Amino acid sequence: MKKICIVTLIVYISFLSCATKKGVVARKIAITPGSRIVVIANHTNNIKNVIIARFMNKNYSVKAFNASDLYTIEDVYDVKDFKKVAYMQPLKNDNMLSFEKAVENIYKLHIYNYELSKAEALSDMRTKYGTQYLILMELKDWQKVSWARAIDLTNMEVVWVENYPAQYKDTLETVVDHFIASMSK
Amino acid sequence: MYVLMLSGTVYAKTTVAFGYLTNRSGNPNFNYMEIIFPNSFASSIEAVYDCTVIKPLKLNELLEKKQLTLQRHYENHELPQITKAIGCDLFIFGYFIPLPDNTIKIVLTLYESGSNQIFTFTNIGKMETEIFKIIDRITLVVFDFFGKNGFFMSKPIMRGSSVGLITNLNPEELNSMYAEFFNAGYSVSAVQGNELDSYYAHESEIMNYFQYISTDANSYDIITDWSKFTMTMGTWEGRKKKEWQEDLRKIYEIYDLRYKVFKDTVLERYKNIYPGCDYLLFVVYNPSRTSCWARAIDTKTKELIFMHSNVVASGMNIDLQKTTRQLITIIQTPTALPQKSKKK
Repeated sequence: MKKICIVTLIVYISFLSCATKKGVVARKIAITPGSRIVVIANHTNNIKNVIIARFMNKNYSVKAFNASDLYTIEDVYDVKDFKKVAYMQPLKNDNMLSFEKAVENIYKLHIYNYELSKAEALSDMRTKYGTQYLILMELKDWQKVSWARAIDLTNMEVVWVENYPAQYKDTLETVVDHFIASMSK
Repeated sequence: MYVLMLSGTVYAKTTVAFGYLTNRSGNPNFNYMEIIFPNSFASSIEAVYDCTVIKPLKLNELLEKKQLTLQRHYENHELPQITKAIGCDLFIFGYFIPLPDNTIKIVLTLYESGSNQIFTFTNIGKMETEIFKIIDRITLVVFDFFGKNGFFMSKPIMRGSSVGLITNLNPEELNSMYAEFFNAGYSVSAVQGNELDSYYAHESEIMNYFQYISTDANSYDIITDWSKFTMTMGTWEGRKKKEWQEDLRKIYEIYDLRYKVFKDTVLERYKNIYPGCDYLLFVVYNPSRTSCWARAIDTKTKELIFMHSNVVASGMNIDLQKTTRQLITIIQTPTALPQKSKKK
């Protein structure tokens, strides 16, 4: 009985690990070689260079944009501080509910506004750099899933997504080449 | 909360009180509908749910015993007091205005006393000669909300439209979600909202704040009453403390009282920056991704048009993709009246 339980557990864990490594690909349009793109990948500069080189080798026009030094968490004013302020005041329960609602609304407005600010920055990429597509990418070890997606900056729509569970034989170059082949189909 | 109250998980019968559906047309010929409407809604709800209903005339009698009168209109902050006086769990009231193009606008508010939650919706439809058809239309919205996990839909979100998805998913999961929307024939705007984190609140907690969405025609919100806000002030207070308290007052004024105005201003800018985005869809999944809740705002009208508090896919091995497919099925399926079988 104990053996059966252990075997079942192992099968279940194997199944779960397979499920989390599912590949996904969907596209609206093909991003063909020759397109003007910005690639943002949260990696060290040497890896970024490899990624950009693969795109350049396939004749994409890669714009010089580096997103790794945009801001740090210390630069962000944390609106939750207001909640702490509320606790400093001797408030009744009703008051606390009211104040918490106001604090939550601050966060909600923050998210609405953040998406606008982000879109304005992306729009600048199009107008100032002449970029057509923004490619976002994160590469991971072979046990994990690398992902990438593309945004059409003319209408701010996502046009291609892929999750790629890297194989044991994959290298950095083959994964990037895989993504390039997938988005240009 | 409403759902729990009427779905049979409670031991005592839920009491639902109906106020007036006030005639705001200025035409006294429609006054007779002020009581007919709530009485009919009450009968419809009583026929389907095992609950105790209090109709407007009876409600007025109960209030008179407490030296109160049933009003034609209540401000949100007055509702806790009135429901406490009656001892009801739900209080439903509203108003109607016959419109010039042979349509009628009905605004109904449902207030739940325990949780302080309030749901208001607006329904504009044909002014039927048979009143029961109008009753059915409104009853459908109420039944959906009670019986389908806080479900509300003023219009379906059809394939071909473009949605901006604000979620609590990580990038890899977000790709899976996008792929499901692509496959179902939707366009996806590059809005994501999952990048913000805070020292004090995790992004998943922040996303949960969007459960409550307040718009002009339709709202799902929590009542707060800042008129009762008291701050201990006296001559012993220094200038700095007074300034701080003034700041506190301003925060409340901006982010609670005038929040809707600010939000509408922001949403107006969405129309220019995301010109193709038809709907903003807030979808927050549970940690195992086997269920989610969702809200949708029409970016053109800035109105809440859809909500569902518990989307769960059927079958085995439910995952993010299955849950998303279930959500997509729900958002594109127009609602229909349920079978009339008595539920607890």
